[in-house]
Amino acid sequence: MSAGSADSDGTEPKLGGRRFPIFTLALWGVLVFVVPQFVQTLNAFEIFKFPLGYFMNAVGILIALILIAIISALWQGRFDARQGSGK
Amino acid sequence: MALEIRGPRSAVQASLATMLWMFVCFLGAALLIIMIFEKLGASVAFLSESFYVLGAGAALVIAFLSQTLEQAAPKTADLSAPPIFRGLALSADTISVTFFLGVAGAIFALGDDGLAFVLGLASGYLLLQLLVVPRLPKLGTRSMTGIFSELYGGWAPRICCIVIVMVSMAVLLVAQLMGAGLIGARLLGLPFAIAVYLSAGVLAVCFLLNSTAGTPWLRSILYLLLLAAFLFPLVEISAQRYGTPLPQLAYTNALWQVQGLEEALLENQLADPVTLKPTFTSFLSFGPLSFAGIVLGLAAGMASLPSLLTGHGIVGPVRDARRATVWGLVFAAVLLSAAPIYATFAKLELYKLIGGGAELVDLPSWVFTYGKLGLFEICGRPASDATAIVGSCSSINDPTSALRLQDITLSPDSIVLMLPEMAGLGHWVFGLLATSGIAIALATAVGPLRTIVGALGLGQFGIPGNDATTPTPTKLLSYTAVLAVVALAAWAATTRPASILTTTTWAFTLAAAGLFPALVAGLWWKRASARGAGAAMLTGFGVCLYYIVATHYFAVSFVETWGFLSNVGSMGTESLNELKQSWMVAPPGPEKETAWLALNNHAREIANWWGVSNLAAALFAIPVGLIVLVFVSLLTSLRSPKET
Repeated sequence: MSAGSADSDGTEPKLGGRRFPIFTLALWGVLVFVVPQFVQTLNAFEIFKFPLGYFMNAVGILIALILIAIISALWQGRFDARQGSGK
Repeated sequence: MALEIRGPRSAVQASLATMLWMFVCFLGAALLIIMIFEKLGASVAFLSESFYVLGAGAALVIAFLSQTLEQAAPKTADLSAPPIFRGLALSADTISVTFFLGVAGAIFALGDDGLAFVLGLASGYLLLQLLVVPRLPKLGTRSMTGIFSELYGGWAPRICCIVIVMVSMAVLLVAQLMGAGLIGARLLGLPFAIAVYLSAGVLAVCFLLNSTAGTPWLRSILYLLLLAAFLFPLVEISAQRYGTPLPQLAYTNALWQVQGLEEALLENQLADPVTLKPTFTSFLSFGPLSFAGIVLGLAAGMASLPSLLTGHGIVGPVRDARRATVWGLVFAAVLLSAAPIYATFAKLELYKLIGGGAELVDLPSWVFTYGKLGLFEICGRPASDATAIVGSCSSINDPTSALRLQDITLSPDSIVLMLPEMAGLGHWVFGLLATSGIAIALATAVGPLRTIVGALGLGQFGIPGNDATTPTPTKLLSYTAVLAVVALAAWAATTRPASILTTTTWAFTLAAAGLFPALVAGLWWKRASARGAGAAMLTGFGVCLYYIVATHYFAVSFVETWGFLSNVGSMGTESLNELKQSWMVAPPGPEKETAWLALNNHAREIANWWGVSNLAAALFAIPVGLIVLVFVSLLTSLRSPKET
């Protein structure tokens, strides 16, 4: 049995009851799998004197990942504080 | 309880602060002394050897200090480090010497496609934070078999886990030793194989001094070393050439210069369109599927990397572990975002050299330095000296007396080391880079070695030095096992199975294919069963291993079996048959060997399923693992009782 499962008597599961982060994962997927597929198209535009597609692959997606990580960590922290399970 | 912890923690932190300062001061003073020696006219060979000794010494000191510290305060060394230091350590351990050397080289060689490695590694931190960190620390175990036992029970996941950990970590260890060997060979002027064995010896000593994950406080120094070494040449070049110390600002100018030079080289026939991969054009080396597969393999591999999960990043309270991964991502992003700048500056130097009409008889000395190591070839032969180059370039089909891009074969792994010399920076800039490289290679290679030894079941006996109560025969067994693993890995590294980055990507992909589906399902899916996990690990890992090994080592047989799935279709298979025919009829000796080389190289180019590179094997293996896990879990038991 997976350790994430709830006990049969309905007590708190060992690994906590946080929901699967489906929305953040979807965002992650779009950033790292979808955006790079359109590099050539995005290169028609410029940002900070860089072709946009190249900029996204080299720097832009990294910045976006950091932002998502920070926001997600803050949100998870708040969720844990409410649940009292951040330990 | 809190008071009990606070007491020793404060004492540890006080001694740590002293140790850190002493260590940093020692390194700084040593580099300063070497700089003074350089000014006084010491020989380059002496300086280079000093850099190696300093780097290896730094790794040994880190191991020794970690051991001293853990003996003083065995339980608090990890937990007392704040998330920012754990993030630094996490970043240093993940990037290590392999990505440090490899990523810039990949972007140099592959252009835009090389950025897949940057994206894969960086996105792995987020995947780790989202899927693993929220639940893994709650299991309270720091061994891979322990994790799977806690998640599933049963013997199947445990056995599969041991095999996957050993294979993937062995491949990673080989890549680390290749990195150490490359830097060692350059610094000591020794053959690559001897430099690998020498570095392996130092690694074994480091491991015997301290076989644990070490304390993040000390390991965070590795990141700072890496950052200083990586950024300093860029800052120096930016300041010298563009009048700004910020490489990020100079970078745009350099990029456009490179693009202009690319066009000029093509116009002047100093490069051909097949060799030159324009910086801003994507999917020239990998197709979109392979690009996505590399990102997936590295990201999932990072999120399930045994040396990481059993290390110091993912322990303690979830909140701290989460913050550590966020810091890890930030620090990794700083280093990774510098890799394209490295590649751009290196391209600029090389293209300027070619575009300036360099004659083969008058090439700069760094070409021969790397030529002698077999890392820089011109016209198919190592560029060991001007006479050899002129000779080989006059005997090719299209003879030339000028340097052309299409005649150059350059090892991407060596780009980072080459740049300071290409740009004519001081020898000590190269020295700082190489010293940091060797220190981080040896210090971080302890991670995979520790994980392999742990998977062998020897960790619990207390690897020598950690447990005074361990009986002598057991200690001897542990010593022998450690030395055997290191020796085998060193031997494998001397065979140079592929580039450092390729080998590292294979290691990450193997870990991802075998462990990621079962780990994530165990943490998040209530109905995942031990049988499902075992089957998923076996099939995912099996598919991945088969695809990598078969396309790389048995490419001809792979094409003969799976040619109909290759992206080149019947044309590629026909040319393979012709080459095979030529090989079969060739008389034994050099001619047959040349024919085999041509056949094997062609087979490796076309050995694929739907054009997916073996670096992107995760694209097949992870979905297969997930499907098998879901199917078997649902089919067998919804909740099999936990076996012990």
